[in-house]
Amino acid sequence: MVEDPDEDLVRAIGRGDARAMRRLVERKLPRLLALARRMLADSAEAEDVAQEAFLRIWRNAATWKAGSARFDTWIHRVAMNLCYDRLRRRAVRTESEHAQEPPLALEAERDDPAEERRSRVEGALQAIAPRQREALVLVYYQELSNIEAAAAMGVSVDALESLLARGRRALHAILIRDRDND
Amino acid sequence: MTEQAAPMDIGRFGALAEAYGGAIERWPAEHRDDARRLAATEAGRAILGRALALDAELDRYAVDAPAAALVGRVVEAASGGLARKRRRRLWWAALGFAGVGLAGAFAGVAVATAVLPPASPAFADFGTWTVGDEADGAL
Repeated sequence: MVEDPDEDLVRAIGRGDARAMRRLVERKLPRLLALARRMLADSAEAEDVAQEAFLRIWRNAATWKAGSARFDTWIHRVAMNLCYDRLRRRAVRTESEHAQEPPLALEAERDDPAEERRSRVEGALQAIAPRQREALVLVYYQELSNIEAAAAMGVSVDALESLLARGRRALHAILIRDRDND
Repeated sequence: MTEQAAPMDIGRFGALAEAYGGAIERWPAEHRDDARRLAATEAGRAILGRALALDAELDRYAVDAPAAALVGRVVEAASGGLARKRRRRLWWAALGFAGVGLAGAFAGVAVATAVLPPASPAFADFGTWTVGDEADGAL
């Protein structure tokens, strides 16, 4: 069994402790919001995902059992599943409309160089395969260990490394192409 | 007899840099010592340099911290969830009490009506909650 820094907090929430809930939100909301934002490139949808993830935590806190995976890994998987629900809905919408709206990130202000660079990376991240994006978000941005990220994704560490490497190669190619097109 | 792991070669070093980036401190702990040895070579430096350049691009994608108002909204939604949970417990307790009453005498019906008036605000707050919702967040 692994040591879990969130275990006491989750148990307190399971007993209905409102202050524990606030502490957990303050501790985890920035991470869940960042994960959803980078998966979806949409701040409003990211907020919805984070809020829904916390509702699921409240519903399940009383039955949470510490096991081989840490609570943080579990909520990453919950949030990631919610992101995939939204990506699937988008895909259906896009198919029915026969036209893809440009990601919001690409509509960013062009006269702010820092914002433009941030927007380029966001656009490139949206352009790679979702599983590669998921691996990069979990390992690079969320700083999960390879074992935690592989557990959250339900793959082996070897498969995770393959997704990471292919994702980084694809990102590199997109960013170079964008630079050459300017 | 324990099997000794083969020392890392430059091919494996490159594969790890492609997966985890150019900062060795972010690589899995079991590879770091070998990696630092190879990072001192010319080939190692070139591999890390390319990986660090991509890391620098990725680092440009910062995400703003959540606004205080969002923290408040999430906590508020959660508090509502807890309040509903407590009311559910009371509801089931009351139902059990009513059941005992019904089995015992007609007077139990009157008790149940008093405890669970259909139009009470607390009961109306249940909204669309149904038994089984608890499980739908499970993975």
